[in-house]
Amino acid sequence: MKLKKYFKVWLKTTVLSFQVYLFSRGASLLYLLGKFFRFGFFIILLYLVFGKTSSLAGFSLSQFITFFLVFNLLDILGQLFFRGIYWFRGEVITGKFDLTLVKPVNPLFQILTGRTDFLDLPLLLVVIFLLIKINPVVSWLNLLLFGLILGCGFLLVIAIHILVASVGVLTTEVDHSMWIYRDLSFMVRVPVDIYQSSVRAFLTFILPLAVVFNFPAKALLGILSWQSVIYSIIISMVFLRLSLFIWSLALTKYSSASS
Amino acid sequence: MVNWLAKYLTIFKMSWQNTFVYRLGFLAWRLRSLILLLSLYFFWLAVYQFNVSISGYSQSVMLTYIIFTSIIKAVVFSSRSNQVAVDIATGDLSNYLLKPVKYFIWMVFLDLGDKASNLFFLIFELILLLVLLKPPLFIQTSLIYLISFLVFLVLASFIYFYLNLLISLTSFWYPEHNGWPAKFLFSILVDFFCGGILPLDILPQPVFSLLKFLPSSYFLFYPLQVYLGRISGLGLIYVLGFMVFWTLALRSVVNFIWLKGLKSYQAVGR
Repeated sequence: MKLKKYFKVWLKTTVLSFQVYLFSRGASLLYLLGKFFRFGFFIILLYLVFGKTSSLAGFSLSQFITFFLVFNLLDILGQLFFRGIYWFRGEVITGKFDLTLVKPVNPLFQILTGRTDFLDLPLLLVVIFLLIKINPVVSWLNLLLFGLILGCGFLLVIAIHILVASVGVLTTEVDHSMWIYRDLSFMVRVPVDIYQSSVRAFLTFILPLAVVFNFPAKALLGILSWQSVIYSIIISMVFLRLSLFIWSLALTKYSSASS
Repeated sequence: MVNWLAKYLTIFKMSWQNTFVYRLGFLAWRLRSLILLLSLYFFWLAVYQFNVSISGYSQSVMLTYIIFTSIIKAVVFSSRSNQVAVDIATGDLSNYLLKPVKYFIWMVFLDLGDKASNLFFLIFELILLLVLLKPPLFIQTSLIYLISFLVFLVLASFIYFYLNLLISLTSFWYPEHNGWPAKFLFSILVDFFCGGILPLDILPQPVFSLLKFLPSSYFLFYPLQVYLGRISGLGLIYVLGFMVFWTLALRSVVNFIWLKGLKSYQAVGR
């Protein structure tokens, strides 16, 4: 019953978002072009840098591209569903967040899913198409494992968005924290195995971006160890719980400024 | 002349002080620049574990290129002229038109303040980076190259300023989303075509030959080529000629579009 209500709310806000994009078609086209260019430019970089050697750190060019495509898959899913986070700062500094809090729908749900970004959908389809094209034969076990680790990665993406929202309540700073996360994720567009051990450890254990973006690709390629599978499940659960705890803590500090 | 300068120096000071009003925002912005630099640094460091040279770039030359991109970005790309598009779209431009100031010169001094604060903090960040990572850097000792590099940086800043203005001026006819869609596309194209991710001469020769004629190549790639000593003699004059051409050409186009735009300007929202 509750799920049905939330689905209805999401559907309503999604339809409204879609109408906004249709209303400003010129702007949507420019944003869409930008997203495709950014995607294409990195593929070119991979071809130019890794295309000249048959194998680099044990990975072939097609495997590098698989890592990049899986990175995009999760990155796009996060942006597609949780674009609302980019508007959250405005709500906090104007005090409009008060209105979100009094509604009978979970405030986190409202903040994160308030604006579905349809402009990410075309690129998402291209990414899925290329993933299938580059990896035409994948065993059922690897596919199953890929689904599981992708799910863990998505939970971590949700946790990161919740943490950013918490920082937003505490400091009114959202945009930069979101971009810091996205800038850091530049490093995990390729397998972290190519980096020095300290960088690799940082991206796996301290800020587990490698778990979010690299592990699903490894699962798809059948090179993820069982220890990593267990670690992925545990860290995603822990991070999600921790982010929800910090969110609850942050809400107690909300000052309702300007309202 | 003194009064004229004093007026605009106040704007420079305002821009500098503005940085310290939103301290957390500025710190986060600097942190982002550092993260981007470190990301690219570690990426290329990793690439060179498996390659001795890429398209004639040794490890030290490539890492110098990457570290210097952050300096050039702080000088050339630090800009408040993005505000122009917002001013036009929201009608705030009217406030400036009524003041006894030249709007573009106002923007130049706002930019200068922004560049100064970014450069100031970048120096500390770079010292920290050099001490902690001890990267193998290429140090240019020739005075001619160093002076040319500085001259090209100034020219690159002007080319970027005018091109940025040109994109912002589209808001006169297309004010949707305060001009951000055009800015978004522009920043993605510039980031790649200026050589901020990889040196442009790594690209296939026909593509590189074409890019030589675009103003974006002169923001970062060519000034760095000069610092690295990869361009000399006639090449320096060729680059200087192109940079002067683009500065003057873009200035003329911006002035023309500005006058056209003002005729269409309706001060919407005022």
